Amino acid sequence: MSEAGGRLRQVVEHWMPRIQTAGITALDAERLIAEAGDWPSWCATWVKEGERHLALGAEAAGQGRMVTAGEAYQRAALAFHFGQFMFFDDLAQKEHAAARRVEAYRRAAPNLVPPAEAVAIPFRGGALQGYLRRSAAKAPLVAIVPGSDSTKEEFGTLEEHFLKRGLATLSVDGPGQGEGRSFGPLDPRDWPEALSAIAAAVRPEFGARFGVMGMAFGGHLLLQGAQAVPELAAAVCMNGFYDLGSFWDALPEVYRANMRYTLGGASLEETRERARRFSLAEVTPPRCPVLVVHGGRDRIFPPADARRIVDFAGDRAEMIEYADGNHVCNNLAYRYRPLIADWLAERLGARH
Amino acid sequence: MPGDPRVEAAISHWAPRFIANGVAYSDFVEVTAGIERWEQWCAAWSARALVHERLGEEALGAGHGLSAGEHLTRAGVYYHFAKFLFVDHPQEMRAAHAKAVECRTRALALIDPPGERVAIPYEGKSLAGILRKPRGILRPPCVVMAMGLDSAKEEMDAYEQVFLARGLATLAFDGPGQGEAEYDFPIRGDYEVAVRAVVDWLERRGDLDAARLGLWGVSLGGYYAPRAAAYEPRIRACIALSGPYDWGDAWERLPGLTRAAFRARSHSRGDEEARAKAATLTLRDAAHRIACPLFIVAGRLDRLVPAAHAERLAAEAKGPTTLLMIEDGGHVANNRAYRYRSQSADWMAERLAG
Repeated sequence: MSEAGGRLRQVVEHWMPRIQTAGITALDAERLIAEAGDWPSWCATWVKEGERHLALGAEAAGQGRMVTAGEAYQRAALAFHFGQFMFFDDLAQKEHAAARRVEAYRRAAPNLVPPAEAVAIPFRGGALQGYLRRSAAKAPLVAIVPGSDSTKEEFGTLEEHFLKRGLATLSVDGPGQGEGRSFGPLDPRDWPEALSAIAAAVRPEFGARFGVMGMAFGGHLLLQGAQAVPELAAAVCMNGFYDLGSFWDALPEVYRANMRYTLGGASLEETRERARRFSLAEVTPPRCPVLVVHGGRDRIFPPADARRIVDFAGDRAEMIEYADGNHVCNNLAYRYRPLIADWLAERLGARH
Repeated sequence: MPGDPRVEAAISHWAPRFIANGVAYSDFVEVTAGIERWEQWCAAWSARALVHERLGEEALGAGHGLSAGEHLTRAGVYYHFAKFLFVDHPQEMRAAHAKAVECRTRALALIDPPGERVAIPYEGKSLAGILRKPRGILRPPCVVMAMGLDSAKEEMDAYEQVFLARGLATLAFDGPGQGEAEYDFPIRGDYEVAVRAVVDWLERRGDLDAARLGLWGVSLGGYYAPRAAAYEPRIRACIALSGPYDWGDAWERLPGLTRAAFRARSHSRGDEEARAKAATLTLRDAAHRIACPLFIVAGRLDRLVPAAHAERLAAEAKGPTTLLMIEDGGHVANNRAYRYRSQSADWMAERLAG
């Protein structure tokens, strides 16, 4: 199989469950993968699908059917998102799809149930962009930190688990993620300041009833920054890692390409140097309870590395390892998502 | 990989339905990959259902009611698909069926909005139903949901949600030949008799607006619903999903498993009797009597009920009629659920407004 065909296969093998868990049906995903046929057509095929859902949304909006419109715009955003996902071969296409994702979700946001409110969090003279959803008056808040190639627009189905359990959600693009790429590539040194900025922005409404969850790479990032937020009440590291450099050589090729884009670097060697900075060895752990969840069959972030997080986070940390879980356990979404939502609801005192 | 044509038929016709109605994709792939012969179907799905049932019990034990409700609902759907079309093994089928009912019933108090198990008097016995009411709405309108040949109220959570989200109550019930009623009452073509019993019962309840009732039917229920709407004037609007205009006309091309299910659920003694009963499920005298607004959904690629059946119904119904023909849709267009589920719920909400 050619390199390009190999990339398609790698992406499907590693992330098909994630695509479905995010809200694209298995049948649509299979149809689009077949339609794309080869990797160079991946992004354009998904973008076309995104435009189709956008048109369905506009049709519903024209009839005043705003819930249906919101659902269609949200699906459009997901299609654009997975179009640009891992597509580093033609950055113009990737950036176009990413911009369409932001635009589609902006249209979806006020029509979601409950609605998502766009919030701009002051950061280094600019702003981090997020979406806040509230389920009930005085609900505690969970901030959701994306990973290396996920963004705030991917988390609609995840947010629903929290909202149903009486928690509010804030999905936010940190520096180096989604709209936050304007602040440069991902850098661990940004995260104490980024989490402080987020905490400051939500403090007037939520005070200390504030927890954070990081998805995959985001599970590491939040631990880089959590020390700077003393009021943080609980943290969930969903399939993160302790030391990226320690397993760099074992990463799948597609993931190293992802790192090249996300961490930057003039050469793969320089990217590797930057990857070494993503270690918790010199970091002060948070004082709050930490839940670490990991898939035993993860072929991207090794379970053995994730276990080191528990030692790092101390006696208030607990770990759940699903032996048959893949990367981010999205093949077992029905296990980890309700569990994390219940755990956070209890730690933050949500009433449901 | 399965070599049994019955297993292949079940997968090829119904995979989209399993996924659209709540089976996790990874479970679908793993469970079907482990089935070689049709005889293993029920046990394989029941085993996977048990995984979810146990998750529900764990969540209950930890005081996580909402999670327990989700897990138990999923377990109910899996047990339901375990017994789905499994009519040639009645004992095994009935055991899985009992588990489906048990799991979904346990979930009802835990889900949001909660559901209530109800018994609707019918011919000296009763029909079992699940009633759910949207939060915060006093005396909401209600959508009565008619099942098909092999669907049952335990499969309906995903369908209920689109109505509940739009302020409509839902009543999914097992009618004659369906779900819990299939053992006592055979399939009947004049389904308006069952719907009349349901509407009579709804009128006696004070918590729903019985002047604003809709009727919805899926697959063979897509025949039952317009059939009943033709004769039951208290129905204000009707949705028919991929139903036959005339089941006898569709008979010859149906998969063997489907014909066997009809034979069993119509309490027929053999194929000839089943075929004769199938011919009584027809809209020939009914279609032109349908006066209420009608929303018909069909998939052009439907291999069970040809799209022409929907077109004929649309042409003959007397009231205002909308036909949503999904060109790349299969049976019940479950491969394109987002093309009709929200849209038909919007349509119903508008018809039952105020």
